[in-house]
Amino acid sequence: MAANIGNMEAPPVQTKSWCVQWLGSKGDFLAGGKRQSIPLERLYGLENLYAIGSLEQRPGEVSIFDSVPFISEVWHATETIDSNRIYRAEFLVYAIVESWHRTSIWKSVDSEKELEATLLPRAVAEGINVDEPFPFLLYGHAARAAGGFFCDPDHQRGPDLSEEATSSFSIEKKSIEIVGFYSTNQRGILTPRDSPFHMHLRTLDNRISGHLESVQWEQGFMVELPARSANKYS
Amino acid sequence: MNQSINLGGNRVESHDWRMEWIGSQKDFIAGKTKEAISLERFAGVQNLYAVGPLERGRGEVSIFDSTPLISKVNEASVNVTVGYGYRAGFLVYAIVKNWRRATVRIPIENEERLGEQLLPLAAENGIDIDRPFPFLVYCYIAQAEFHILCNKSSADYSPELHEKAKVRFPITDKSIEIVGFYSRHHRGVFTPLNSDFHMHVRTLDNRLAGHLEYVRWRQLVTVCVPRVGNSFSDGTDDNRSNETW
Repeated sequence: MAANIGNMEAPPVQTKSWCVQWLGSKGDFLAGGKRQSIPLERLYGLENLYAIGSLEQRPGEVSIFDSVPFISEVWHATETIDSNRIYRAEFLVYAIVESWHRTSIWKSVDSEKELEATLLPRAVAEGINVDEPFPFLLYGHAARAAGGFFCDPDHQRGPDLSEEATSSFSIEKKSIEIVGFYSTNQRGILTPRDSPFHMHLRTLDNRISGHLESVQWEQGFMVELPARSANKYS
Repeated sequence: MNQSINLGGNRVESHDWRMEWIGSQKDFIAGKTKEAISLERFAGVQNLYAVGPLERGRGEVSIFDSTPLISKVNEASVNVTVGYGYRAGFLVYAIVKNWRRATVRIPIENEERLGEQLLPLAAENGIDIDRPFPFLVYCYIAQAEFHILCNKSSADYSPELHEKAKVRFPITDKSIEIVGFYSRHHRGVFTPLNSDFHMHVRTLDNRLAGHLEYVRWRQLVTVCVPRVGNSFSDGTDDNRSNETW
């Protein structure tokens, strides 16, 4: 399975029932390096699509949950909203996943290390090669979560972007859904340089979405991983 | 289905999932349940989803991915605990390893509208909608109502006691998950006599859980149906009881 939505810089990681592809890199986006953008319109009509990325020339984030795009933008007070805007992403990692394997986790998970320890054995059990990028979903009632919208009000890129030009949010005791990608070998490309995770969240009431930096679960949560190809079952 | 277990119920089975039920709602309400169903026989079963009442209408059982939520009414409040040390009056359950998801983007006001969204999704994914199947829903809701049976009587269970035992609670502006079972042909068996759906709800914070009576959705709704594998085999699709199967 593969969706051809643009001039991809990297070959897809692909199985029979799901695939991951990406455009640009998180590192280039943050460093103001070479960029290639894609109109989100091009994704219209793709089913079972999950994606995260950053808007081009706008402070904001793209989060796509099951083909439903959520755009988070930081607006200047003086700007007017253009409802006819065509959004373009200059960094986008996306997956098309036909079916998911669900597992419930009934313990507290407070850090990326703990999430990694929880997620990887389940991914391996599901036949996923964890040395290659793979997508996952999490949902449940989070004790706390924090994140941000990478924004550069002057549209000037630079290495300090992630330090100084981020608008942040934090939430407590909210039900959320997370679309995430795990990759140990694509740091600075699919994931931030200091993490194997790149995750976006939405609150289930759809009031907040954006780039997730930390999440703490106290009561457990659901994990969904791409299911093995149906043909491989016996 | 690669998880080989025999729990002794009526069965609908496909390559990737199976659904069974033990006892019937009709017999339970009439006080004719022969033997309550120990939930302990399900402990250790993975990917299990189930709904039913506790024996003698003392509460509700809702199992979400092998986690049994036991709901009881305690001084007019909902008390939810987790554990298999209970017995059900009847039980419908499914073992589903993999799910197909879809997002419904229009408001759903009632069961009829839910059916209009759910059945095409199930059919598109290869499920025979003339046979029973389980489903999941999760989303943020505007309004819902659920009940928990709270029979405190020691008299023989009866339709009158059953109605009196229902304690209803509202849910407003919360994120919920629903485990549901659909069938056109099992009213009084594992769906109520007036509905093709038997659904239980939990709030995602697990503070509330019970038998769903009514729900209205306004926002995006995630609906999941079992993934269907390559080959079908089935045990039953009619109203035969345990004794005849």
